[in-house]
Amino acid sequence: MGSLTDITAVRTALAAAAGTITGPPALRVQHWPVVGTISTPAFAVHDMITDFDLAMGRGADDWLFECRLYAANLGDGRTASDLLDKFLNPKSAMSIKTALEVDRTLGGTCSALRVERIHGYAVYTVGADSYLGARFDVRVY
Amino acid sequence: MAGFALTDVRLYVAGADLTGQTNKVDFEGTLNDEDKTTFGSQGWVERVGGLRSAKVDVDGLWWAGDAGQPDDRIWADLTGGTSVPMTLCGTSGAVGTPCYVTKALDLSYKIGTKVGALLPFSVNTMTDGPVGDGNILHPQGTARTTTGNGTAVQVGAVLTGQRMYLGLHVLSIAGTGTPTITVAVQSNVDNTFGAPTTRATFTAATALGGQLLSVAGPITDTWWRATWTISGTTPSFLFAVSAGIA
Repeated sequence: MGSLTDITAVRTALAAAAGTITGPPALRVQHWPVVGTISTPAFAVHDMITDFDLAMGRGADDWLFECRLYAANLGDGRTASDLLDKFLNPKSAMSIKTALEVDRTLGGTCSALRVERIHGYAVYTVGADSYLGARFDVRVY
Repeated sequence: MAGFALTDVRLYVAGADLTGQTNKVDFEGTLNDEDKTTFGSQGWVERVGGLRSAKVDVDGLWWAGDAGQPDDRIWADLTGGTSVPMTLCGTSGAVGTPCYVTKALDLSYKIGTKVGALLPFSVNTMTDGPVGDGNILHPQGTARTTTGNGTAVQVGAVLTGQRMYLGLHVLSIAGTGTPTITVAVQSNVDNTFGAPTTRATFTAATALGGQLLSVAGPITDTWWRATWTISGTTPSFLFAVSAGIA
């Protein structure tokens, strides 16, 4: 197992993997920081928590990336939650978890990856707009 | 050395550097307690030290795929049933780093965890023979492409009845034309190495692996260094040399 060396490459690869979801509607990739109006549905890699030194000699670290899905504008009502459910359902053809785990090395940018958790099924406000969305915890080594 | 956070233990087993795949290392040296109590012991138990032994227990992250990875190394040792050279040091493995050098026999190997977690391993080893206490003579991270001499290290004199144990771990080989490295260890009265004595020469290495040699005392020289002869076409070697007295 090697230590993750390029955070930007991992963030880019995570977004690219999510961007393979063709929908309909196709998932767009939104770069962090997310500002202005979002063209939904959109996926962005947000925060991260790093626990250093899983192994001796800087052999491995633990990276937890928080990704966020903005499914639809809150004003879309029932349609917004139905669409969000499709992205969250691991059995769906639009599953975020499945898309991110197709290549668990993200093209060689990491040693291993797992989408661990969905949480924060909620309304997120960006600028003047509110969106229905959810958060994904993606653990990367 | 003051207390420090243990983040950089170097563990070389034969031709594998397991540093980056391990996260817990326990070394325990033991001395058998032999009872020599007699009626003349005035009612108190009397003891004398008997046989010495040591064990090294290692936890880490399972990885496999080449001879430098823990699963390949440990499985080869377990199925081979023979001990292999091991060097253990608490910090970076730089020249002069305190270390233990010995041969170790893998006795148990455990793999497994719950779903979703990183797959860990643990291996329990017992030493096979003495454990030399000394220093690193050549660091694992410095690539050598030409013949040369290492830095002088004051490991100490070897007293009558003691031996200097010398470990070689060839960790990486590159090049063509059968890259070959022959490592020797020299001693000298001081760090100038003006008139060095070659104390031991390892078998020429063309593949990853480890060797352990020992030299009997008395040796009054206190300074030691590694030397190496390299041949081949554009050769490059990563190797560690350790020395310890027991």
